[in-house]
Amino acid sequence: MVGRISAWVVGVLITGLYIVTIVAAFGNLLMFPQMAAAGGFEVSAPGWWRLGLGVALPVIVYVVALVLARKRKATTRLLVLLAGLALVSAVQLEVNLLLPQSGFLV
Amino acid sequence: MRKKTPREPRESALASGWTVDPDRASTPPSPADSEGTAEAPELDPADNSPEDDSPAVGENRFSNAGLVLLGVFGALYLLYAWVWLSWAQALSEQNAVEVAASGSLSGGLQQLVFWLAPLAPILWFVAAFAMNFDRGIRRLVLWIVLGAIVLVPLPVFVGGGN
Repeated sequence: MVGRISAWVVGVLITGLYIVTIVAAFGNLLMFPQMAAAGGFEVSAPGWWRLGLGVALPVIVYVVALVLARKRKATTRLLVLLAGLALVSAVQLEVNLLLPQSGFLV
Repeated sequence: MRKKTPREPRESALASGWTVDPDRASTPPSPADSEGTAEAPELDPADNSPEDDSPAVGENRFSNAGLVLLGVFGALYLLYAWVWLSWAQALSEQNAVEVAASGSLSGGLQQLVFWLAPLAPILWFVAAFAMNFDRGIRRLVLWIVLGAIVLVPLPVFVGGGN
């Protein structure tokens, strides 16, 4: 019982981190074009890709992780979820390196 | 790594899916066997589901070639983790400024997620092990190779990682 509750708690925490990531990316998606417009710029196509990917990727990875690890024991499911979050983080870091923010603008 | 035993491993009659290696089943697994098996004690389940109440027996199903392969990929994954860590350190200040705009709680959580990036290869390795170590070496190697492709530090090749 205790194990089950703690598994749920950890699961909720990891889900919360996914949500934080998604909300932050959504905020970027909304705010960045406004900031660019205020500065007299437009968001480039790669910029739109990056902004959209920031929202879509955590959602996709979360669902895939849940589906892949379904019917497994709790520790495995949590581990897969956490690995997915780390993957999202790594991809974001990679995109940050490959496409600096100045590359967002036209 | 120990030598191959002359006798063939047999299917376990008690737990279907497991093979019992006659010479090795009695000896406790040494964590220093290889990169791959060193992860296994972490997978010790808290709940006792019947499929994996003894991961040590599961390890013995892997051939020596499989263990060597896991060791090689484990080393590659550690290299990935090191590269990712160096980039996370390089970008940490910029990231701290960016996330500070979204408040202390959200910003702190975003920092936490940001620092998960260097752990991605290690977590992938452990997760792939947990998902597949009872389903045969082929699926495990498939997932490990997939991770080595997905997590490859692309900016190294593009020259953007400066």
